[in-house]
Amino acid sequence: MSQRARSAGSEVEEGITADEAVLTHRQVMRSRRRVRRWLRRVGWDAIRDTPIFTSSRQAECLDAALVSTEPPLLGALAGLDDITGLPVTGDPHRMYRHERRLIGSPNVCVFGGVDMAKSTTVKNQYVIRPWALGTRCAVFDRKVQRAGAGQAEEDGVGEYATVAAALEGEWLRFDRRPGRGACINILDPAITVTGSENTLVGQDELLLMVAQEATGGPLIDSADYAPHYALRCAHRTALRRAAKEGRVAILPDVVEALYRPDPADIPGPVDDAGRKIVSELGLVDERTLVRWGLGLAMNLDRFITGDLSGLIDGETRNADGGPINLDNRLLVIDTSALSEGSPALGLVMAIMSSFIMARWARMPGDKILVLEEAYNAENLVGVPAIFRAIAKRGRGVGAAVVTVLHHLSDIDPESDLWSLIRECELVHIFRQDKADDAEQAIRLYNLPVWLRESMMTLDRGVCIFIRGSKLPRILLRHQRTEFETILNNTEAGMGARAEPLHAPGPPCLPASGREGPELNVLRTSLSHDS
Amino acid sequence: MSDQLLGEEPRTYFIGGDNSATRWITPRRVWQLLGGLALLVAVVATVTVSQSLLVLVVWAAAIGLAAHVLRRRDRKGGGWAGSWAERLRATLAWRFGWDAYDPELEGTPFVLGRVAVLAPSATEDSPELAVIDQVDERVFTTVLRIEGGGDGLHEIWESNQRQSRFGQLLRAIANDDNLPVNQLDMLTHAIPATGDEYRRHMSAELREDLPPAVDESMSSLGDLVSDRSEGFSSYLVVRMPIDDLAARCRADLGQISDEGLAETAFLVTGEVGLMFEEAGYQALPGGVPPRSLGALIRHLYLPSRSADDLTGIGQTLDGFPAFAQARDGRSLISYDEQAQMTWHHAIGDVPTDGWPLDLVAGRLLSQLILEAPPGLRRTVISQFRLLPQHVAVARARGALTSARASVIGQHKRGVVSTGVPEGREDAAQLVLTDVGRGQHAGVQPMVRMLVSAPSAEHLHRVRNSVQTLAAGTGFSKWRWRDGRHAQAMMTCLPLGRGIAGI
Repeated sequence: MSQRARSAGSEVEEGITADEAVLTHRQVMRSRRRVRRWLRRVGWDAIRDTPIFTSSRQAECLDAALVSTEPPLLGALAGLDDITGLPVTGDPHRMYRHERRLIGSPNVCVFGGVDMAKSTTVKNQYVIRPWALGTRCAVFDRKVQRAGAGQAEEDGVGEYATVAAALEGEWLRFDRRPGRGACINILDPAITVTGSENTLVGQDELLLMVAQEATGGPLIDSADYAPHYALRCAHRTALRRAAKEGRVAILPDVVEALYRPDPADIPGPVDDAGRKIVSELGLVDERTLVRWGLGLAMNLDRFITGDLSGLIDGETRNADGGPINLDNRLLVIDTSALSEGSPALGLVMAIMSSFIMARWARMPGDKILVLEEAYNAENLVGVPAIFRAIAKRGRGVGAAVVTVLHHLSDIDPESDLWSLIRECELVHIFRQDKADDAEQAIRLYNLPVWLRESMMTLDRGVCIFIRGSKLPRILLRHQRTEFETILNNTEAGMGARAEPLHAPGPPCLPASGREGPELNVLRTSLSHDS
Repeated sequence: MSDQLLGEEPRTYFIGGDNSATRWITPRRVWQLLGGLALLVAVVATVTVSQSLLVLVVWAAAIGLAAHVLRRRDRKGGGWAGSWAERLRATLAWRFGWDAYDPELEGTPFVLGRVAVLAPSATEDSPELAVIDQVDERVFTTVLRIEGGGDGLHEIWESNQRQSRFGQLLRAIANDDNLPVNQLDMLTHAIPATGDEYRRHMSAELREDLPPAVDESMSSLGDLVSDRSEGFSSYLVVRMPIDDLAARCRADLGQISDEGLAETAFLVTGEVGLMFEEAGYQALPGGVPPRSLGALIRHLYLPSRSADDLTGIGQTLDGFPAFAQARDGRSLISYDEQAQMTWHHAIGDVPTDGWPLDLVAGRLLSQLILEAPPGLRRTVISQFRLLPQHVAVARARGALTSARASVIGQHKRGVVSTGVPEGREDAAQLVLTDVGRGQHAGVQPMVRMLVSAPSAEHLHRVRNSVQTLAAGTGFSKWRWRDGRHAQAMMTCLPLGRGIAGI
């Protein structure tokens, strides 16, 4: 017997080699062939089963090709398909650029109950891993981490502080307390002066949004066009005056221009002599402009000396007064110090997202903007519209917007925010606490009705992952590394242990039996010096 | 129940029950009859010649003992004599190496029989297709790589539609007089993911200036893939009886030749691939070439060698490595020289009386394929021997007659029913309705599973897992081919083997 067969046989019984060695190859072969032929003749050699008999209708259930055998690898790992165990990737940009155009829009929506690992999934799948692949990321960090021992609650920082520290990102903290937070200038030259459908959100739109927030109602759709007219004039005046003084215009310049308009900036057509027709006709003069803009100017004062001061009333600067490095590949905008549902929070989210998108427009490569707890913007006039506009126009600058919510019922079905999440083609649905929410999700994303019960019993870390219409919806079980586990620990300040992603519980769908060992429970070793 | 609408309710199936017709004349019965006659002649002759009462008594005792031995059942309910005969065969086979194969001593494994590999292609430059001429089996076989599907969270109607399409596909192929295909095998092979592909993909895209901790974290994602996920590949084997293929060849080309048969097999395989595509599967174009088929065969014997690794494979038959049956007959052993690994394989299947006698849901094999413990290297094979509708109707009618006769006979004898005969009758009635009124084709299905492990102990655990999975699937019995794993392995290779014709 040759070395190969001997090696195979000797694993089980050493005797096989000793016995066979006695025979020469020729003897072995001759004896084998003779007996084998005889055995074959009497049917004692090959296996020939006589199976049951059925019909092609009943045999349908025996299809053995049940799995997509070569799922495309698009970006970093997102997790495992909880049913097949196959690795799942879901990079929005790569799916969008795929030759089959797997999705028509790279925007993402993530929603589900509290403590279902939404933030963990978003942090890992849409921030840390894409960042490592070269994608620029910006995150609106909303969830406050518990403050450390001896610290006041308001001194706690957002949950992405650790991520920003580990990835050497730019951390911007917004805090209305004097000297504690960053400031953003909505008239920053980084933002284009006028926005349009084909460009990014411009200064004019931001200014309008701020004005609407200040007056508490729509400005542009009002039958009274005058305040908006005055605002446009003031915008021009502020920009021109600041330029003349060799500095960047800021919001107080606009307020001043509302009180002290410049006739040269009255908008509208000019006559042959270059004079504004409305001025020549005596319809609009300085007094008129002041009258039209007076209420608005008084209301805008909220942002300079009132309850919204300190956020957008100066030049763009970080909390320490230094410049903001918007070229950093990771921007974490910490809004955890701003009250939930407050106008200040919505403003910062809308303005910063516009600001970042404006900056990104000049940078090549993929970008992801994460709006954590985006429902906060719902109650702010004009803010959801800004978000939707960013999401729609983001494709032009290679940006995907990730919107994170708790419940669909938090959003008004008539709002722009609703339209934004409805248009997302990548959707993560985590466990829904209420039947109504599950029902709404099923209707919104046209999911199978039988998923209703399952949706309410999903394990922690498991979500329904919708990937456009060309790939099947799957159950995604998120996976994370030890390093990510440390960064995901949102209770780092207390030195708390990171909870395992896959808490034991009743299986929601046929169990795959491949949950694997629980992820390591680690104490966080990174801390952010806030 | 025969053809549920593709709407709200999931389709259900009644696959179980040995609803084959009672065949009064079988080779076994003929042998039994001849043996009985010979015995009678021997008894009469010896008693007549010897005129001794003692001889008669000895004969009576011998016949009584033989009858007792033949009727005796073992623990599992099988024939005691048969199982001892199998053990004897396994012992002798191991002792004399009947079931072993050594490439240095033999050209091809004896259990493979005589085969020739042809390699037609569409054009001179296009890839060849491996056409296996299995001389002893009198069939040609080809292999297509197919992309499975149907995974994910679908609407009920979508799942129903997909399953229905598969049934219609089987019907269409079976009933197509111009398509010389009498069997389709589907192999789905699952192995632990190596993570290599993912790592290659990542290394090409990862930034170079990452902090070490992030770099390590991203690299360990590849380990997560290999630790916790699996890779699947599915193949379709097209089995073409040589007589039918020759008829098609003559019709198409006007004459029969080896080249003509290979060309016809190539065309038929393409037609089957198109039909699968129309039914919602993706068939990779071109089919599996000879060297790739060899690599696939080697991969099944030696899972440590990738199915894509063509090194050392000059032709299909190079794919057979050395193998031997384990002494205890519970596994087939092969050795990977390159990786210096020994592999232990066990092959099991569903016996005739092991199919579920209750209604089952679609995707019956999903447990075997998808819900195995991580790390279980397995290949699930479902075979479909196809019978045209007119043959199936006659067969179904006979099956129903037999099943009903059995139930009536049971009533007449006053025997308490186990429910099995009634189950057979229900299944036979359903099948007759399908093939009669529903115009479906007949199918003789077989489900097999090949499991591989790097040690005998590991394989033992794997076998237990498979038994549990099979029970979860609804199979009341699972049969390991102990003592015959070398032969059973042939039924798990992409060769369309293992089913006896009717």
